[in-house]
Amino acid sequence: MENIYQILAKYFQGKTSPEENILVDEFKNKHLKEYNSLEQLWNAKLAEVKDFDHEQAWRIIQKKAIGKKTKTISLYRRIASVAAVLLILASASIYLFSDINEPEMITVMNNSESTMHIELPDKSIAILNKDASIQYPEKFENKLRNVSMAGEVFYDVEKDNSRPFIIKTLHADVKVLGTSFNIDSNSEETSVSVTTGTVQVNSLSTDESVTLTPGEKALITASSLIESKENDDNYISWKTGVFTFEEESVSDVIASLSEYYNNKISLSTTNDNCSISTTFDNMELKYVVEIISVTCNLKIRETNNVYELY
Amino acid sequence: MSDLKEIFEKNYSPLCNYANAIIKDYNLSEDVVQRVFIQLWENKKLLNLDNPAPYLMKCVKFKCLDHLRSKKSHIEMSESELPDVESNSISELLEDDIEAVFAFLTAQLPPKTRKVFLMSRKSGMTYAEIANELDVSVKTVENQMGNALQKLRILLVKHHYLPSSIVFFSKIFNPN
Repeated sequence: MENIYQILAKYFQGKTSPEENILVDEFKNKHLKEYNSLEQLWNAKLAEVKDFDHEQAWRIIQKKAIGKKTKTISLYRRIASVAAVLLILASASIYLFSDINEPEMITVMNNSESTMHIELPDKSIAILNKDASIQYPEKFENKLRNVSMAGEVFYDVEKDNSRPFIIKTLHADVKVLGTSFNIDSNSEETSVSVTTGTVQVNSLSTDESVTLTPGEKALITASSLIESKENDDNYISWKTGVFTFEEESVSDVIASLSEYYNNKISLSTTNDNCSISTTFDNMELKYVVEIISVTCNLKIRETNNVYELY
Repeated sequence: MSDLKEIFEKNYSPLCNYANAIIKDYNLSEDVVQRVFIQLWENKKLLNLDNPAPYLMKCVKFKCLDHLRSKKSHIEMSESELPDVESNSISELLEDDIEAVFAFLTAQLPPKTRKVFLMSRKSGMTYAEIANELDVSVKTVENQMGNALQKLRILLVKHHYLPSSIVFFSKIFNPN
């Protein structure tokens, strides 16, 4: 099923069907301003776009900005040498102090095909799903533990009542004292599901806050915050490798398994009558496929360890 | 409230792309953006802005226009005063530089999404051609094009980019 943004892209290229045009009209009626600006951007004359290296540039401007300060000091020196010495000492200590205040940031991206375990400076654990990334300082400050992230990450946070642990995503700040929970954040939405303890979520767009307890979930988008029960038994299966299904249709089962098994399992039948109740506990894909095939009476087609059920 | 380094990391590359769309010179663009940050080094007001991007864009545009007017080389470029930290929205920047705003926003798309988006928009390639070139499925290209528009929408809302003022400006400048 295509989402509205895919349809809009086709619409701007004049390639939509009459049915899709109706969907575009609906979007236009609801979000006229946003529609107009997207159309405006789409029709803009196109500039070149490339990536500039901010790390090197930061070193350059840091040096120049600090250099500006030193110049001021040499001016004072002409006026009174004693004062100058004091000033130089003061500026040196400011320089050292500012260095301490700005710890090195560490960025980790999980480009591998499996999950990645990271121990943070306070001994909290972050487990990154494929394609997830996290940024944190080499050493946490005295009052706060701040990290930023994108993608899906499970956290087990060390308890420290004096230093809240705050995770920043595109849509929300998630604040905790010590607990474990899962965050899945993409460009569209951020979802937070709690395993143990309590977690406070603050939406950046609406500035609403909710406090979540185990089994609860919050979904934050660019315009809303929705609180609900976490009904998906498998929300941390990507980490545990354990999948539990209770009377679920074969297509839902395969949809749940697909990402974990690197898209090496697919279903190509429209017959979705069969339902499955079972647990797969860190099972090799070929056995998973066999069990589904036997349960639902489906055939298996295998090419280079990629399985298609039909 | 955030720190200058964070603001710098988030905005450096998008701002350089923004400047480059105006002055068409990669090195000079980097120089302009770096000069703006050096001038703002101890500006506490900047750190208090909810979203500093529109103000930074204004400063960069200011310096770019300064350069175009004086046609000085970047070595001689003067330390002109920067505008006040007051009106804080992209929309008023739009009257003549939507191309630059486009570069600023597009630079913030994830790399893969941006690549597909620019291949479609800039090179005019069809989905099938892009899929073939990148060795991915047409479905993936469709997904990435959708992602691009969705992310752009989020950025537009975040930067208070209000299209009513585009209409307003285009009416003033092109009455018919």
